[in-house]
Amino acid sequence: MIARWPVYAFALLTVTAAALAGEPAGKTPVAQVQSPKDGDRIPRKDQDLTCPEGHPCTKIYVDGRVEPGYWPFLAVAPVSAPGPRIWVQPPITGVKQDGRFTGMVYLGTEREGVGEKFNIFVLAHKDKGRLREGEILTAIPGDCVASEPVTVLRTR
Amino acid sequence: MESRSTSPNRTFSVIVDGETVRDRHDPSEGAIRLDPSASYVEIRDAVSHELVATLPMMDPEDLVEGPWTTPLELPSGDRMTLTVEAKPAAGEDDLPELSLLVHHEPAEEVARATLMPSRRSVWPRRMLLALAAGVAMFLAYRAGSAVNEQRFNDLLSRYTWMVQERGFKEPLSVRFSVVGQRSLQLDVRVNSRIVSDVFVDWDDPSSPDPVGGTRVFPQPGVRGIEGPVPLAPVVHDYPEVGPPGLWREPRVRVVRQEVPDARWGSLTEEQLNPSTRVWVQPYGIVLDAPEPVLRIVAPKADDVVPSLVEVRLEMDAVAARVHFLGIDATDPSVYQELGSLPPPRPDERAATRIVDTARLGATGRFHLLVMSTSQIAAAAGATVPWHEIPLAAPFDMMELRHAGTIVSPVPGSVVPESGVDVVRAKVLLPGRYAVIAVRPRKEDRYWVQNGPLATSESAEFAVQVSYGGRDTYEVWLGITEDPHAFKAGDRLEDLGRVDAQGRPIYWVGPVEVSHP
Repeated sequence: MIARWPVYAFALLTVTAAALAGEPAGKTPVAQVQSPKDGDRIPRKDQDLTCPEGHPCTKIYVDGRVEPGYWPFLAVAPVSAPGPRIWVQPPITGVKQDGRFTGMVYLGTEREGVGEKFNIFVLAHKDKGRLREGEILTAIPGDCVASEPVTVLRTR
Repeated sequence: MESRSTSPNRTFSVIVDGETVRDRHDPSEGAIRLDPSASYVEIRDAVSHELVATLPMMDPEDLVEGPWTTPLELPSGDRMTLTVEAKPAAGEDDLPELSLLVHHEPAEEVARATLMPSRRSVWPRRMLLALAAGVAMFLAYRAGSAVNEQRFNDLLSRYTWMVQERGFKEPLSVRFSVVGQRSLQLDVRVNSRIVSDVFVDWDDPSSPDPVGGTRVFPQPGVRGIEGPVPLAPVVHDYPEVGPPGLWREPRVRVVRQEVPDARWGSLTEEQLNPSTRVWVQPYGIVLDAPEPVLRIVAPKADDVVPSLVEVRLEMDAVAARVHFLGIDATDPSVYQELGSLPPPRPDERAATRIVDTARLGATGRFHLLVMSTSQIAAAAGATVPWHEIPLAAPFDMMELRHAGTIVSPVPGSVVPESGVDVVRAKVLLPGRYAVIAVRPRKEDRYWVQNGPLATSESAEFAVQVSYGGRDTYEVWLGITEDPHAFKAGDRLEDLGRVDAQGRPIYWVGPVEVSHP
């Protein structure tokens, strides 16, 4: 059986969403995840303070940036899930003047998620109430702009 | 079934579910009959008792379309092919007859077969050899002419490319195969003129590969080779697992050369990202394992449903408990456990359960989510925060809605001594009419209390209700598109489900009250 890698599916969706939003190529993206970085192993040494030594690392803080006029929503998609599913994360409480923000995301539960890879991305929309924490999306909504996904590996 | 074994010297023990069914089986003896309910078959060397292969058994129904063939390349270089075939059952209630054919080729024979050209390919190969000889003569001439050394090396490299891997016509080939009880082997052949890097991600949470996978090409020693390159096989051992096993999706990621050789054409996304699903079981690995299926067959998305909903499921390869969860539109961060089913049996393909959704959809819409997981321990009626739901478990979800809701009275209320009270309700669908009906338990008929009342979506309205004597009563809210469907004072034997035009009438309730 040959199947596409979910990462590429998300990348395709991202490109599609960007195209729908009329984002010109080469310009600063409307939304992006700034930290963690693609390929990071979670928890990162001395960075993920929400993950005390010896405990499962179920949640981390994420830094991102969004263009003025948009409101960010953080979303997480487990790479190994059978079929696309995107979980909307706790709401962002504030966005700085330059568009930077910080929010929290869950990477699995205490018993599930160790050794798994997760795609983290920002969904941007002009309506602050467009998405709600805990919503499960099976595709990126056509009216949202999605950032490039950042794939991380949860190691404990 | 025909046996074509060429190894009369090597014999095997065949063990089914831990019991030896053949002690010294020579593959030339032909097929072995198997118990259709067998879980797994072990093949061991009859002399050394070394485990050669483990074969988890399939559902006999899956063999209806054809035999199940498992090719194995053993670490010794031997090749073994295990073929399980089913003959249809004699009677309707009988099980099909299963047989296992072991075909074994020793390493020397495998090597000989690989080197010997097939009859069909003799002429093209001879032509290629003649061409190669011509190129060699040309190179010798050019070398003899003392052409600069760099040019000579370049031509030599091309010549080398022409004579090596002559039969390999594809830009790359990727193959996963099972080589042990918990071991998977990856064989990759690439053309280095078109492929720059190959990575593998075994999707093993006990020993995860880095994001993007672990590089398997270029390998040390093959970096400088141009053209088709067969890579050394890469073997990965999955962890020991208990039932129901571990479903994973090992993947390969191929990176193209920045300027690939145009002769080899382009690669599709599927060629660049091949993967397979494996089911690591306690007894072995199933390659190309079926993807778990958990689907809500009924109701359908966007259906208007009563409080008690019969949910029908379609399932396959689902092994953990099945939970029914409700998510209200007012707070999607909290999931309500509506009930669950025990882990399905391997042959169980469908299930039905009635769940109570009365606490959901106060504003109309809610989600019903069905998930197979062993990680939710909540009892029916309990709530689970969304982030404690396993993210990767098989699930299906759909949006449903209720037609309306009775705000008051609430279940268990006592009606006033006068027997007259007010029922407050909401209709959650646009352009509908509402009636209230009460049913005394002793009479077993429904008394319609009002003529159809035009409603606004989600707006609360009130209807005065007259109960009868001392009894227990059921209160029902009827929702219809027909303004003439009922009259105040109607006595109904049962609650009609469609109006005169065949449009549905929704009944919300009952809310039980008493008139003591």
